[in-house]
Amino acid sequence: MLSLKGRLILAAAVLCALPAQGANPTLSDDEVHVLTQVDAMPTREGLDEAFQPTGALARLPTIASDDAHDLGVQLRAIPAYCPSAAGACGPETPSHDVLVDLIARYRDATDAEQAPQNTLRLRAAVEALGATRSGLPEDVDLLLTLLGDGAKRVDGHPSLDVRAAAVAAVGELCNPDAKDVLFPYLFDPSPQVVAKVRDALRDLELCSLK
Amino acid sequence: MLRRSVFPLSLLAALVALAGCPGGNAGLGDSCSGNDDCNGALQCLTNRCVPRCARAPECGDGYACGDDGLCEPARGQSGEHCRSEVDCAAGLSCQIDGATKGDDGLLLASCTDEHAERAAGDECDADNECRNGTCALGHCTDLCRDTRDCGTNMQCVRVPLATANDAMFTGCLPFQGKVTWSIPVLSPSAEVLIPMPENARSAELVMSLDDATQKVGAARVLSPARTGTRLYTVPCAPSSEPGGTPCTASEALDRYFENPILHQPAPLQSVLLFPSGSTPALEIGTYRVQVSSFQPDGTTGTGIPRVTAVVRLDGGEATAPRTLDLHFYFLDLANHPCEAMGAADTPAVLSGSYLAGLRTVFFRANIVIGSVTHQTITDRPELDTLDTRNLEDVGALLSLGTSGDGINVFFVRALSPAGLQAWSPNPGPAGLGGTRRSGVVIGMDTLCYRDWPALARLTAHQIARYMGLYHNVELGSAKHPLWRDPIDDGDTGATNLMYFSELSGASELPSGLEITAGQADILRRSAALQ
Repeated sequence: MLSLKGRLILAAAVLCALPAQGANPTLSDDEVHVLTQVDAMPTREGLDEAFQPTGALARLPTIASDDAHDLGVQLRAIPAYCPSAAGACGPETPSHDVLVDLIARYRDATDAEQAPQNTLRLRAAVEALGATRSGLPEDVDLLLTLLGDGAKRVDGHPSLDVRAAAVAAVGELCNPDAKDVLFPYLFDPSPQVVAKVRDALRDLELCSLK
Repeated sequence: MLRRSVFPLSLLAALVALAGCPGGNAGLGDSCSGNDDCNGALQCLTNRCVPRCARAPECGDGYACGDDGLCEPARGQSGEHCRSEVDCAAGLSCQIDGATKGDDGLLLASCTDEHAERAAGDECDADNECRNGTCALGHCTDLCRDTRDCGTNMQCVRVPLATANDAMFTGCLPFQGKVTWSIPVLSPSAEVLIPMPENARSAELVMSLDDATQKVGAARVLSPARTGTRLYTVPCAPSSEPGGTPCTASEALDRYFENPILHQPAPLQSVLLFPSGSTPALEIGTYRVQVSSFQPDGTTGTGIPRVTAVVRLDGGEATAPRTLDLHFYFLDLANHPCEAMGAADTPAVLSGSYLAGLRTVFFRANIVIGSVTHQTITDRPELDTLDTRNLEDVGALLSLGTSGDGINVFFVRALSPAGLQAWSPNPGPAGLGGTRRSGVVIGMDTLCYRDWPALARLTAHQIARYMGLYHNVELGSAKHPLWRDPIDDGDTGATNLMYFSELSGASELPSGLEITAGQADILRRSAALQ
């Protein structure tokens, strides 16, 4: 799924982060502040200002991928850059591919002790992938793995919050073909998921009109 | 305001028929034929000794309560000068004559026949709708000379009359509490008048519009006529729309913070609250506010705003304790990822360190938490996780906060975008329930990585924003010194409750709970208080 360029950048980012892993990696005051606002999400201007001179686009994927960071910081880093940076998160960009990687990682995580935190990380990555509005069928497929498949007796993610976020993200991705695959999830046992399916089907209808 | 219905007129007839004296020591309920028959704390009414009056309404229409606690018949006849409703005989009311002022600087008034239907305290749009001929702050208002002329829990205060060039009269208004009224607006941009009486502590305009593609808010605020200072000009709108004034986000924030009153038009609903900070102080007089709908590029919109005014009145000691009620609403939190940390545990919210934390924070402002109510909302699954970018959903949730007294606090499973911990209007429509912005929202997923005291700090921070405080400093304030709250004794550090970040910096220490005296003063002016 990763392009060659994307893999190289991601590898570089992870290598840069390695010395810090497990040792409470250091962020500057400005970097912590921009990623710990109580009631506002970071703006692109705020991120660029805080992450000078290295640049937010280079640093945020690293922070998002590093569980040694404070979870509050990490959660805000995961969706931080994409929504406000048109073109920075489209297909085959490092930010997009990091999100795909995070979803696969936390979907398959087995550390029971970290389960609540991993659920939050997964939900954040799912939401952020939806916000890329990539329209990619493979992104839709990835999100569907979180929803399960009754016909194939494959369970979805146990957290209704993750399933609800996955449905909403499918709607946001704006791939009109996703409509048909979402219908079966109107029978999800969770009313929260069902409510999101209804919203997503409406969103996808609007995508079809564009 | 209720004085006309407290006692029938016939009861008062006995006052004038004073006769006989059985000895001057008759007790409560004993028969009497005159005031001299009753002991000193009583007066003779309908041949029975009853307590002396403290307020005129205890005596009935056409009577005043004298300094000595005796009900006295009013003698003012039609056309005669009066100062107070209790000056005029039954069937007449004391009505302002026009814009002419007397030697005491107050508007002249005279006893006039009562024609209109609405009694004192009823809502009104114009003077001629009121039996007493005076419509102030959206309610029919009795004129008075002294608080003794007014009903229980009312106070005789100076009130400006916009139509008389802000000349004053003295009228009966609530001693403590809020006065709320609707202001009719007929066009997309219109000037509305907010009279600020002597005992006002704060005033807010809640402006609403149904069209979410436009914003609604104030375009301009002028202080009362004596000074006429411009207190607010709408900031430029960062926009690439054709016709819009070129303005970066940073420049828009500069304009926002340059205003003595902080306000930002918003889609669906916005609130203009003053004062925003230590200066300028509230003036007695009429504030003039240009309310408007706005297109995305900042030009005047096409929607007609709906406007509600709320004025907080408080004649009590400024430093006395005030009470804040809290109303908690729990969305469906079952099977929450942070359930093990207590995220679905309603009793923990209502009795544990969380509520204690809230009490501690507000006690610093001499505000005590009063009644605490809670209810669950399990039939709105679409709102269990709230997408704050979806203003319709935010409105649907917060309009469930029906209580206009106190603050409505909603606990949802999580907020979107992920990582956002809380959301509230800043300021909120304090004192108004059931609007699209009537509450604050807290995401319970924060409990996966923070503890209950941290959640209490988060909630207190949001409640304070709702009540009219702003971040003590904003992100970027080092480069933009204007980007801070307008409190004179401002504390710019992370130990302050209103610090914009939950962590103090690279040390990752949690931000603090301190409230400065100036911040406490703003909180204690809120219409959310009892």
